[in-house]
Amino acid sequence: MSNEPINNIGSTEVKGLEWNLSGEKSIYLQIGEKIETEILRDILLEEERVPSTNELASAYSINPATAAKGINLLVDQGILYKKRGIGMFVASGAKQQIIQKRKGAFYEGFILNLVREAQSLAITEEELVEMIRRAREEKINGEMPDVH
Amino acid sequence: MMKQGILRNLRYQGRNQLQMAGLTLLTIVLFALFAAFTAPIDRIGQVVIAGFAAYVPTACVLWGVTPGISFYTVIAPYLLSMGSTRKTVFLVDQIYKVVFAAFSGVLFYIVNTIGGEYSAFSGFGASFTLFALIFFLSSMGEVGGALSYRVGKWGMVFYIATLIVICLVIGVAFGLSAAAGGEMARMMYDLAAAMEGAPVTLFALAGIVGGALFSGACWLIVRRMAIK
Amino acid sequence: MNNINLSCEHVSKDYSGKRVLNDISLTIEPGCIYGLIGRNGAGKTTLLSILTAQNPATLGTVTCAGEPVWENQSALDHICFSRELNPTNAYGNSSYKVKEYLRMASVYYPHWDAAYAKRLIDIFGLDTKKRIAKLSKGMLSMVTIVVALASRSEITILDEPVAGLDVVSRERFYQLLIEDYTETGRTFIVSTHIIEEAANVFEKVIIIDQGRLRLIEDTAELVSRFFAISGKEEEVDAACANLKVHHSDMMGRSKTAYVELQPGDNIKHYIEGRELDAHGLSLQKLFVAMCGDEAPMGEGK
Repeated sequence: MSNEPINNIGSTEVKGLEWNLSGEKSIYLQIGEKIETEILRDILLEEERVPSTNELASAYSINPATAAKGINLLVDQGILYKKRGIGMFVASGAKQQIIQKRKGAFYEGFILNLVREAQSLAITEEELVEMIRRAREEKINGEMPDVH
Repeated sequence: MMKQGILRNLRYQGRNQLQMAGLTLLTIVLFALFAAFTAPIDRIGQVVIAGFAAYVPTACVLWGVTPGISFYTVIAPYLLSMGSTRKTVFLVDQIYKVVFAAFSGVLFYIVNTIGGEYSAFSGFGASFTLFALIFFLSSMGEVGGALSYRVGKWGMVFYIATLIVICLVIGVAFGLSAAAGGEMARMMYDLAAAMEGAPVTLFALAGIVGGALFSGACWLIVRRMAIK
Repeated sequence: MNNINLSCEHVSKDYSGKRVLNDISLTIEPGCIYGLIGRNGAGKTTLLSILTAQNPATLGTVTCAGEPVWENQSALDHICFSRELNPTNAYGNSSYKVKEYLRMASVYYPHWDAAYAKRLIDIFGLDTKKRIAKLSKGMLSMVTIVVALASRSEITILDEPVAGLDVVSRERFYQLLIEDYTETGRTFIVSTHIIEEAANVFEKVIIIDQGRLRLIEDTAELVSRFFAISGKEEEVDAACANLKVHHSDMMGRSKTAYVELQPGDNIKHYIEGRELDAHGLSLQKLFVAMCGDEAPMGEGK
């Protein structure tokens, strides 16, 4: 069972960002995630301005309405806020908020799939835990959990 | 706004028409020069001036009538594809058609008047007849173009075939009566004399009426024309 | 910025007794980029011609900003329909040079932006002294794009603008389109066969199939309703019992069904507790699933 599309002809690389255009996840959600990731990676700092919907649309050749949808989602969640006449800014505490949010989604997004896959391969709980332990030891970077 | 549409077309189509008028004048001059170089020296003026009776109508037909045939096959579709209405394109086309015919008539009048006694034709009647002739032929030609665009190549073919048949019939009738009656040259001079000075000649009227009928037919074809 | 809408009601078109467009009613909202997709011969160009009064409808009406478009100059002044230039037209239209064509456009489009046209010509590297008959397919496309964008008309329609363009030029086109749209908020309708590239640019999508309007919907919402469900044949059939299946593929015991959900429905309801995979479909894939099973309508539009 895989998340890859049946054929890869749908994906294109746009300015270094790989969009999965096969419809696995809506573009507006991908925009939101990209901004979140940049906040986590300190590419966008708190209280800093994020690119406007028009700038995003222009940069990635997508419809501004789509970009707006992605941004508005983050505004609704309090990760971004709007300064009238100026633009969208990263809210303080956004980084922590994103980490919490992703932690919450971690179970649904990663753990369930992991367990399901392990089950279909008849991997026991002990084997699974051992694998996790081994992977953590192999991790060189200690500080930040690796986010994608 | 309809008015804007008309102005636009007047501006754009007018440019074409000016070019045609210029080419007409140029052609007449070229014909005259050619005659001047080939005529015997002692009668140069006479030959060239008499020749205008042929140069002016020929040039006017060449640049006024022939391009008109392709108006509805080439130019009009482009104008319509850019959002102009059929009404305005047709209306402006008709305006310029009449203007060009008038231009032909006026030109003929000027040339004949300057030529004086050497001109084959003279007076208002001849010019008016030329106006009617150009108007008639342009209108006839346009219908051919419009038919061909709307109905296809065979429309144009059928149309030309019909015209040729009509011309043949008239020509044969004319020729037979000429053979029966007398010399052709005599007939032409009689014709010229008959046209001179008459305020409105039958030929001219017939030409104008015929032209108007063809124009009406053209509108009927154009009014629901689809751009390909 | 723009509140000119374009709509048609119960439009049908017959050609020599054959009904090529059947009872189409739709409304184009102002300030949106629409994608128009459909197979060859589905009737896309015919529909666009009728919407722009370049072709009379057999039945039905088309209105723009509340007025009928047919032979109505003030309504038509809001619209630019940039169609594919055909160099093989009869009777000497080969004698038109690109710059003459552009001059015609500058006279006939009331909002023509000459500076923008110049900038676009430079971007595309067009030689305006060339005659239309001598242009390559790519350059013809570029000319239609220049006219469409520089017209600055409130409603701008492009019929297959990227046919003949290489991938770099196509990307440039999408860029230019988005730039223009963010600046002016014009309404665009773009018909194209190259669906997946353009899908991100379309806010809404119109699908025409065999002369009928299949749907007109927000792109993201449409895409979220389509899934490919795969697994063992019996499991797939059971899951799809109450779903609209557009197409299915079999390979041995494995089956993949391409299904459409109703708005608001969730795919989880159908695959929960079963050994099934479900993943979303791209716009292109869902279009093929929806319209791919009939024989093509033949060449041309």
